[in-house]
Amino acid sequence: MSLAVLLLSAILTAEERRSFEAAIALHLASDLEGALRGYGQILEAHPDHVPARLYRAEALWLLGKREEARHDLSLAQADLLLVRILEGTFGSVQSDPLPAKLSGAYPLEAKRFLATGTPVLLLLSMGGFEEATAEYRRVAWIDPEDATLHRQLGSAFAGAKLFLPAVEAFDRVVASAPEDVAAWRQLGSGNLVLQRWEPAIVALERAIELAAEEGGLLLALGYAYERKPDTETALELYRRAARLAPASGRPHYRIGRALMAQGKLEEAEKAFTKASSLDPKMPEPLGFLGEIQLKRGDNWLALGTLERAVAVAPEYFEAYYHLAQVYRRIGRGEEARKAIARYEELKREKRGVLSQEEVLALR
Amino acid sequence: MRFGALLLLLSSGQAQFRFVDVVEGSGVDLVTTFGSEEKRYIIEYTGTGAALTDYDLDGDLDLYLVNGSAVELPPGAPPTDRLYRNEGGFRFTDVTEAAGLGDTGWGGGSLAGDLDNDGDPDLLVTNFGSNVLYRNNGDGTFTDVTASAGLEDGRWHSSAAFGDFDADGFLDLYVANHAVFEISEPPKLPCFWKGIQIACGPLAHRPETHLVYRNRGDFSFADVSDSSGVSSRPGFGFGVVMDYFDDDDRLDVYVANDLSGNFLFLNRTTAESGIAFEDASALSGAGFVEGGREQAGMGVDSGDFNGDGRPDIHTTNFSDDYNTLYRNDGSGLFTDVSFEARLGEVTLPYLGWATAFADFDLDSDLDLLVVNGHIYPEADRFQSGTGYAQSNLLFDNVGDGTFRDVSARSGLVDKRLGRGAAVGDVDEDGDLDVVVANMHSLPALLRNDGGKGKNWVRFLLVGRGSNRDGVGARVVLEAGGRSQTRTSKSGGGYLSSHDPRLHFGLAEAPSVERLSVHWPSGAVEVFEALAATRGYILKEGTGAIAERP
Repeated sequence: MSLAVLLLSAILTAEERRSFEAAIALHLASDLEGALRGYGQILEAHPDHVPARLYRAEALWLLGKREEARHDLSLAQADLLLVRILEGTFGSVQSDPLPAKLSGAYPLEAKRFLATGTPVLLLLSMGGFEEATAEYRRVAWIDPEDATLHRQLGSAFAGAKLFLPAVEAFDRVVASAPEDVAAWRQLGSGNLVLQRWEPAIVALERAIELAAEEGGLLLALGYAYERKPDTETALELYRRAARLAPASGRPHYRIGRALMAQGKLEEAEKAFTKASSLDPKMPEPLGFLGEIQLKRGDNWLALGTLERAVAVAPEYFEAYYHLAQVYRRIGRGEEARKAIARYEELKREKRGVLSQEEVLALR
Repeated sequence: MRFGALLLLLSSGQAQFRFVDVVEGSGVDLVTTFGSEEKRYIIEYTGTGAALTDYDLDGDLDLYLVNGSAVELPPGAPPTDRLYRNEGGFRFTDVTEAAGLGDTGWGGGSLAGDLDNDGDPDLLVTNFGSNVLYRNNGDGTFTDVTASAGLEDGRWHSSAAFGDFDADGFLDLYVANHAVFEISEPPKLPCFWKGIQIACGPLAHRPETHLVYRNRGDFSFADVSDSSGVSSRPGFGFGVVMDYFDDDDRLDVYVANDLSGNFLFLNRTTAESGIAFEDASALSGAGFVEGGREQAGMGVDSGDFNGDGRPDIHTTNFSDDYNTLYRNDGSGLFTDVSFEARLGEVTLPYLGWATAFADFDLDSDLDLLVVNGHIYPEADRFQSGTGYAQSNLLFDNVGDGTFRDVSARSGLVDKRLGRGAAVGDVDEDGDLDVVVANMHSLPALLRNDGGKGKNWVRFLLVGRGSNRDGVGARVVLEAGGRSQTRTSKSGGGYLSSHDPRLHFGLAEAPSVERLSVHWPSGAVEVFEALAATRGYILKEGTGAIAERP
């Protein structure tokens, strides 16, 4: 007998219980249309039957009927479902360690509802970000050591750009699987996106310990140090990354940025030049090289550099901004106005493709 | 002996900075109200300012402190602004009621200026809701003349500044507005900072357009925001400063905007056009940083930090971003030199508000003060890399284009929710003190105990063809082989206004060799051989200079 059917024994008649079990069996066998008919019968008699509504939502979703699924889910309030089930069966969910009991007594349901994190994934896939996060926090304590579950959910959250629950999930993964390099890397990346420099440093340093030298990790760790701010350590890490990948321009670009933050423009200029020579298609080193030349008053040199930047990447709006400054300084007012207009246009377009969440993440 | 010699050597090479908070026992007792402690709305973030002004004309600086309000106020008398009369020696008396003041609006900024040229400072208070204009009656009292002056406007106002845009001898007004906000309709979207849900900031609101008022000279103002060109572009306005940013003789405006690009409005007023501005923000290089990125501009000040005679600009910004020093290259062109000047990396963890260029150690160059405090109480609840209450920062001008962080050894270690600040010689001892307006607590009255043994001089300007305060006068002082340039301003930093007198440190120079005053009227006067360590009154057009007691 499934967990849900057991819990609902007081509500459903014996015949209805059998129908519900049969519908679930069809569902698990991927006969979703058959399952939908069974859930429909239950819901016709018991419109408030939360498990049937949730199961039906999942089946509808898998069949591509998203609006109907969304409607069922909103009625089912999936985040409340699990608590209702657990409290109804075992009393207080906060005090009773349940995982073993659940998986032993009701392996099928434990897997569906808990081990796979189905409600969380379902909510995420339907865009219920707040609800998914709340649901994850509600169920996460059940089996904190199940690295597979938390890794899967962490990746799902990261994929949905919900980096706080992602970081929470990967925190649990590394607690139970401290050698998991990928999890440490994800934890570091998530904290970087959240601009939490100290936790990012801890995670990325651990990932580097486990993975030995790896360019991407060194650059990420360097960036965390740069923003902390500790540009000396950042520079050391970027230089290590440059030694690991001598043909890559990116480490030299980061070296240039860190040197600029130290006010060392001449050294930064050399680093950007090196980055650009190694990776001529990367516009950022050219943009910053142009900015340094502009600061120094080498307007004609800056003009050439920035024109190369926009030739390499016509959508790189930052270069147009500096180009406008150059044109203004060499007395080419009309071109300056055009460059600023292009900068504003490109920036607007780039902003347009940012999700509202990404914009709001900046406050 | 050797140790003593070493100390002497060190002290001679190191500037002297020392501040002591003397608010306890001073008589200044306003604990500001500013929304809830948990900060549920954007309106609860921004705090208040202070104005130093000699309202009773007794020769010393009195203190006006703005108070905020709250969405849910406890029963009883509402929070009010306060006026404190300076009794000398950092002792103050609350004279709010006697002066007829005590605005109960949700206050932000304050600034003083002689709007009718009658010789006493009038007072403007900016609010979330209508601003309030008080006329100084000349007998220690004020009268609310907001309605008759035409300044009623229900928007969210932040900093303001007075300046004579059309050189008609009367102070006009620029008011920065912030965002369109209704307490009854806060944003419904969740907003996040470092993954934590917080009360939404500006990006969840619409930016507001700003205001320009022309002073008609009869204590009434004409709203010329549209005709001047200023209202064509909205911005989340905070700090305002006026100075000569493009080398001509018309007073320009710079505004620090939160996440909407800063404004540089160059004054293009002519007799035909009336008050008019050109939006030079993007092309000047002073509106953005790093390839056109908007910063979260909060406070702003201008000052000639590198002694080239041109006003440079310093803005404060949000945490995880740097405070920005724009070097004025002439002709209205600016270069971001924050990192080269050693002001970038050190400011990243701080959320800055008020900032002021001033010679705190009297060594004849402009140092830099920054007042800090975060807006999110949540900053203390996890490893945010910053903190809710923050200490202030003080940077010593090294003299080679760079600054040195002297905050800790200056005594600026107290962590508070700082917002506005007013700089002035409160105790009349020749150095510059600071009043910092803190949210939810007493202000800090920072008595300057540094700069010992250095000389100074200061000037009270009295315009006769120009506006009475001489706002907009450019003064070039030559002493000890150095030249220093200052502009007389009214309103600046963040929600505040400073000592109206122009103050100069002279280091060891015993006198001012030459002083030239470029009045807003166009008149230029030159004075020579002025003894140090005293104040002077300069009356426009008289060629005379009087010592101030």
